[in-house]
This record gives sequence, structure tokens and C-alpha cells, in this order.
Amino acid sequence: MSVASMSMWCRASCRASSLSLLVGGSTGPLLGGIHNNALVRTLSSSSASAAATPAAAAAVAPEEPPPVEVFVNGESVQVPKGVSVMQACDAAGVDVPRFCYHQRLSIAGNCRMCLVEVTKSPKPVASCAMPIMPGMQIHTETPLVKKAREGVMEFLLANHPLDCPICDQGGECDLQDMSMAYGSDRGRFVEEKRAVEDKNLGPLVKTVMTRCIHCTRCVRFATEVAGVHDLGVTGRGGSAEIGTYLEKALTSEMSGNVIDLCPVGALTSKPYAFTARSWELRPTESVDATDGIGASIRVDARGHEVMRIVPRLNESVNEEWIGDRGRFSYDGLRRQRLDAPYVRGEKGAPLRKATWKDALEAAAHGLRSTPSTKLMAVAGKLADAESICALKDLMAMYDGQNLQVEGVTPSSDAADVRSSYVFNSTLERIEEADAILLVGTDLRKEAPLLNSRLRRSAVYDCVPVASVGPDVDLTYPKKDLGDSAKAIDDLLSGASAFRAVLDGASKPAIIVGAHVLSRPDAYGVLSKCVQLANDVGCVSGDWNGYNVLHECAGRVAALDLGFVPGPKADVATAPGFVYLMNADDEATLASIPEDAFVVYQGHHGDAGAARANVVLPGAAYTEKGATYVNTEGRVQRTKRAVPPPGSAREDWEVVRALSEVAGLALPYDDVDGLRVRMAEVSPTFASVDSVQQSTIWLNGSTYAASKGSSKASTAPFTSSISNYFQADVIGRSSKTMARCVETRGEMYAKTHDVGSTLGELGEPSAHPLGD
Amino acid sequence: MSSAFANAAAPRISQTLAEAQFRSRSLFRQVCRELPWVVRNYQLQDVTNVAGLRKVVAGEFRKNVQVTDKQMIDLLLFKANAEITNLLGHHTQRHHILTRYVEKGVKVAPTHVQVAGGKNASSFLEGFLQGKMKV
Ligand code: SF4
Ligand code: FES
Repeated sequence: MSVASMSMWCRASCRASSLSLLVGGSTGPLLGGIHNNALVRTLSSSSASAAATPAAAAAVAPEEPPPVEVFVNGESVQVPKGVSVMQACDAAGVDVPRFCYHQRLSIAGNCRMCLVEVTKSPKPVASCAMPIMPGMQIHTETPLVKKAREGVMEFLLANHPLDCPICDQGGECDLQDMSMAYGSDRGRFVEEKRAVEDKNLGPLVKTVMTRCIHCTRCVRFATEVAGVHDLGVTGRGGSAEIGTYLEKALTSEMSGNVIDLCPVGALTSKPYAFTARSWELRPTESVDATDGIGASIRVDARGHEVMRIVPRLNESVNEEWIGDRGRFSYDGLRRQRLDAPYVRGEKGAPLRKATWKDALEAAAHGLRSTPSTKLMAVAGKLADAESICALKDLMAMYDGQNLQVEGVTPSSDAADVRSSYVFNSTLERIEEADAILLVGTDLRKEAPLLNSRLRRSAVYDCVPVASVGPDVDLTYPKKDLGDSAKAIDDLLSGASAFRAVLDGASKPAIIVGAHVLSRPDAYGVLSKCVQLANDVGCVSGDWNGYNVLHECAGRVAALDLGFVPGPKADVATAPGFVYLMNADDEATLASIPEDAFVVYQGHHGDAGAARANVVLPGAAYTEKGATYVNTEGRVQRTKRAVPPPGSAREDWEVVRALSEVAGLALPYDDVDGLRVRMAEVSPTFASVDSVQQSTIWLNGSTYAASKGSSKASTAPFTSSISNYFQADVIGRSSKTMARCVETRGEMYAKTHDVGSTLGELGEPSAHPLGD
Repeated sequence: MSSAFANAAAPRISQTLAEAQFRSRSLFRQVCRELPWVVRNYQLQDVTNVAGLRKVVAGEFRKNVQVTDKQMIDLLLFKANAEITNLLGHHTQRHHILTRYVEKGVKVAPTHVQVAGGKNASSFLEGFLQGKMKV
């Protein structure tokens, strides 16, 4: 075993031990989160320092501190040293009520709901904040504990309004549940209840601050996870209030998570307000397809409508957060929908509603009457793997070789090596990286969830981060190296100081944004990035730190399926027939000649449908069981929560039907047959929910044979997303997202007026990079 | 609206066959007048329209053309009244309407499609055109 892999193993084993605990608890993960991570790190300090100095790694055996025995209600339980009493209770399967404690946030210890009795302690102790001692006797069911909890509840309820019947949290409220167990059926208070003015936190989060119990979860989330210092507590005692200091909206792209965190109804969802009660909803466990991360979500529907989207726990992808676009753009699923096929009679005529029969015949006619050299198909950002595979097979039947993926400069070697276009280190393990370089990406807009992971590394582990690309605030310190390919040249030649940091790191990582793939000089820049990855040792042992971040859900699947120009394709030929599969990008549409016959398949009447001659209505990601591959290459499946509107159909079925009407039927009649075919095209599709690690790394020669120009221009790098909220057709059709854009615009204008003093508060002064 | 039906729903004994038949026709017309309301309030736009429903209702009436016993007609009218009262009072739910009145009558796109090469459409394609999706 090499030294590097040895140290790797040390870290992996300490992670594994914390993970095994994670799944052990009945009420949720025990360890994890910022402070608990720190805890794990101190626990395994021997192995962590071993990772830093590889020479020592071989000498230090991977030592686990011996577990400690404590007694919960008389039952013995073994837990790691240093965990809290509450975690010990969770490990023993004993539920301790809590409001302020959250496994991913720092410990506040201010709600006092988690009081338990510990032998030899004169008073009950707050279990979330109390570390265990060997042999501790913990009691959670004594009369003293019950009385203490009832006392806490009585105080909390003294000022909590009795508005459960009109509260959106009703039915899923911690306080409501707890009051069933510990609440009193009559009050002893004769004073008036406290009332607090509601705050305006923007178009996403609705506040009823009188309901707040001051657990400060929202404040801790904003500062620790989201990295925005927008929320805080003002005042003391009876006049304590949660709010933004100035009246302003939350500036985070993951602000919606405070809604889930708030244990009461103080923070609820504004778009969801008063639209449904939680017990009327039909939950469907699915996957978010609005960005490249592929967060696990639960789609709550009533009848034929999606009422809300909330995150599910998935440690390796989204932990338990989702971004605001994934959470709130669902109202876009009801607007601007294509619910019937449309056909444009002749050039310039408006699109007219048609039957499926007519639309398919029109599309089939266009397909058959075009010579194969002039056929072109584009896989768009929201296209699912099934429909891409079917479309690829359809084009193959007509020998159409000009296949393109939206947002990727067409090249036949774009999809040759899987490790050249996926996020190789995986989202979970990117936190192991000890130096990170961002190239042409604005993580806050492209992947807020990944950004919060990097923030954890940068802020709590002091991992140096540098960026070649847009100079934006990522919520943590980063060094700007410039915004063009010249900065990469400097890193390659060693002229840049950050090269030494990368060289010194044992697990350096490079994150290449999707913007780079869409540049005309994409392959020039990419080969430089691959070269740099090699030079600084990004790939060694089982660590591959070369990462490409895709901002959309459809692209990796398209590349996995080899949806790139074939060997005989000439991308310069003006196409006569274009099949747009969910492709709505301006750049794609601009490249289509005036007289081309365009078939658009998709779910929203956006730019693509407007240009089309035939519109075939498909289903959105909440309306079909479809496969999406996230940026790591993780194959995931959505489930149908609601049916598609009107006569829209599942997308692969549309392609299958078209193939038959055109005369050469695709050889699969059901989705299982199609999935077998997908696994034949790319074996990665054979296993769902896991990442197939790409083992091939061509040591920098990935693009050596690239036919594209290998020169990189000096054009500045930007982000692939200019507007976070309206990055796709669903976001563009959503009223909520439009309101967000409006508020952000106003808000930026406001903070500008306030002056620069605010900006100076947030920035930590000392940073490992100096400067 | 519902008061009209409340009157109609009161058990009445037709004196002659002509009166019974007149009452059936006026009930049919009354039902037809309510159909737009039904389509709107039960959100049936996706699955049918007023004309489609009217056809189904007419079919239900025609089923009994052979009945000439006025007492029998009175009984049938009474039942029909009960049904329409439930419907207007929203005691019936959408799926009741779908199973009783929509599925039978709804005629979607023509099933015959011209497959290039003169072949017959596969069962997949026919199902696709009729909107019978496999879940
Ligand atoms: S608003 Fe909710 S999350 Fe924030 S402190 Fe109050 S109760 Fe806690
Ligand atoms: S959960 Fe322990 S004090 Fe709040």
C-alpha cells in the first residue's frame, strides 16, 4: 500500500466511523455538521495530521479512541468519546425532544427542551450541550425530566399564538407535536401575549414572528451554512427578535432551507402560504432536475398540481438542503405549458394546435425528406436520458450524425473519456481537497449546494481557494487570479503564486465550470486545465481532483450516451432538419438557419417552441419517471408525481411514436426495454443511485488529438448562468422566480446606497493566502 | 338553479304518458343547461367538453326510449333528479363523473394513423395516440 493511499485510508476510516454513527440514530444523524465535524477531527487528530504529512502516515497506526460506556435509562451504550448526552441518547434509541439543536448547525443550547437528568447533577442538564463522561447515568423519563419539559413548554406557549388552525406549519410543527406530549391544557398566564412585528424577508420566506421561539436555527443556518450574515437576534429577554438588521431580503440562493429548519411556523414558504395543508398532500420521492447537482427531493402534490417541493436527506448529494430554484420554481410547472401538439402551416404562419397524428406526420415528413448530412439533433439542458437515447437511435436510423449537446462546443471527442466531463472527486469527497482552483465558474449561481460544501472547507478547514473567472462573492475568502486563460498559463508556468499552494497540496482539486465547455476555444482551455491537473498531481491513488461542474441536469447523460457529432458529421453544414430536445438556449437557436425545419420537443412554450415548425409536448421532471445523471455521474431516477397536462406525453414515447410514423420503428415498446438499451450504450446506466467511478485518466492527453483549435483566446471567463433564478424554462415561467429577480435588483440598489461599511464587516481579516 | 331542481325533484305523479314524456324532455334540457357549469366546476376541460357530455346524457335518456309505462318514467325521472342534485351539490366527486359519464363518451384523436410504408400501427402507437399511458 502506498503512503498516499495509506493516509487516505486513515481518513476514510475515521469518516466511516462517524458515518456509521450517522445512520444509527432514530431521530436523525448524530454527528456531522460544523462543530461536530470539528469534533470528529479532534477525535481522529492522529489520522488527520497523518494525512497532512505523508511520511508520518506509515508510522502512525490508524487509531480509534476507545468508545465510552454510558447508561441511558439503565441500558448500557457505547459511544465515541466527546459526543453529547443527546447523541448518546439517540444512539441508545431514546428520543429526546429538541427545538434548537440541529445536527448540521453549531450548538446553541438555548431552548432547554432537551433537559435530561444525570446522576449526581443537582439540576437537569441540557443534553445537546453537555458532553458525556465515562459511566454517566442518564435518565430521560423521570418525573423531574417530565416536569422540567412541561415547564419549558409552558414558558414557550405563554407567548406563542394559538393560531395553529391558520398556520401553514400546522400538522408538521415540532411545537404542536411537543405540546401534545408536554403541553398543559390550561394556561396560568393572565398577562397579554407578546407580539412581534413581522419581517419582510423577500418573496420566498414568509414570516410570522410572533410565533418565533428564538431557537436561532435560522440565524445559525444563514451564518454557518449559507454564509450570509443577513439574519440575527436583536434585543434581549422579552424584547429579543429575529430579523434582518435592515429591512432586506435574504441574499442566499439556499434561503428556503430556513423554512424547513424553523421548528415552528415563524418562517414558512411564501408561495405555498395557505394553498394546502400538509396532510392533504401526496408525497413522491424524486430527484431535482433544475441543476446539475441532482438533489434528492420530495414532490408534494394534490390532485394534478405540484403544491411544494422539499428536500430529502441524501448525505452524498445534497445533505438535507436544496437551492431556491429547485424548491420554488414549481409554479413554473403550471404556466406556459405545452399541452397539445402544434404545427406551423407554412413559413411565417402562426403555430396551430394539431392532433398527435398530424404533428407526428408533419415531423416524420420533415425527417424523411431531409438528406442525412443535413440532419441535426440537439439535446437540451432539461432532457432526460431515456429521450436522449431514443433520439440518438432515431437519428442513427437516418444516419444523421450531427448530434449536439446544448452548451458544449461540438466536437467528436467531447465524450471520449468520462473523466474529462464529470465531477470526478464526487460532491462528498470534494471536502477532502486541501487546495481548490475554480476555473470559469460562479459556484453560487451554478451550484449553491456545492458552494456551501466548499465554504465549509474554506472557512472551517482553511482550505485555500482561488478562482480564474468572474470576480464574485462566494461567501468565503478566495483569491482571484484573473479572468482569462492567461491566468491558467501562469499557473502552468509557475509564475502564479498559487501554483506553489497547489503543488504543496496532497489532494488538490480543479473545478472547471460549464462556461468553459461552451466557449469556441473550449478544447484549448480544457487541455490546459487537464495539463495543470496533471502537473500539480490532481490525480493520484483513488483521488481524482479534476472536476467539471455542469449547471444543468441533462448534459452528463447526453455525453454518457455519446450524443456528440459522429465521425462523418460536418458541423459546419447548415442543417435542414433540426430536432430540439428541450433545447431553448439562445446560442442554439441562433445557430439554426432560417429555412431549417425545426421540431421542438419539450414542456414549456419558450424560445425553442417559438422557433419550431412542429411542437411535440413532453413532460416535465415531476411528471415522468426518467433518468438524469448529475454532474458527478450519479445516475438517478425521478418518479411521476402528477400527470403531464393535456395531451402531453412522456418524452421517450414521443420519439418512439415518431420513429414508427416515420417508418422505422425503434425496437423498444416500454421503458424497461429502453433502459436495457441505455445500459448497452453506456454501462453507467446499469446501476441507479450510485456513482460509477471513472478509472480512465489519460494523463493529460485527453485532448491531444482534438481536432478543435488548441489555442485559448483571451476572452474573459464568465459564469454559465447569468441569472440564477431564471436559468431554465421552468424558472423563466415561474412568477416566484420573477419576483426574486425583481427583489434582488431592488436590493442590490439599496445596499449600494447604504455604502461600503456593510461589506467590510463580513470579511475575515486573516486568510491563509495572505494578500 | 338548484331550486329549479328541488321542484323537479319533488315526487310527482304524471297523469298521462304525454306529461311524463314532457317532463323527461324538460329534464334533459335542464341538465343540458347545467353542463357548462359541471365542466367548469369539476374541471373536466382536459377530458371532455359540453358537447361530449351532452351526447352521453342523451344516450342515457335514449337507453329508456322503450319505456312507455308512465309510472316507470316517473321513477326514472326521480332517480335522474337525485343524481343531478348530488352532482350540483358537489356530493358527487370528479372521479364519479369520469367513470360514469366521461370515459364512455370520450372520443380522442383518430386511432388510424398513416404509418410510412403502409404498415399497420403497432399497439404502442395506437395506445400513444389515444393517450393510454402506461404508468
Ligand atoms: S424564526 Fe424559527 S428558526 Fe428562527 S429563531 Fe425563530 S423559531 Fe427558530
Ligand atoms: S435542544 Fe438542547 S437546549 Fe435546545
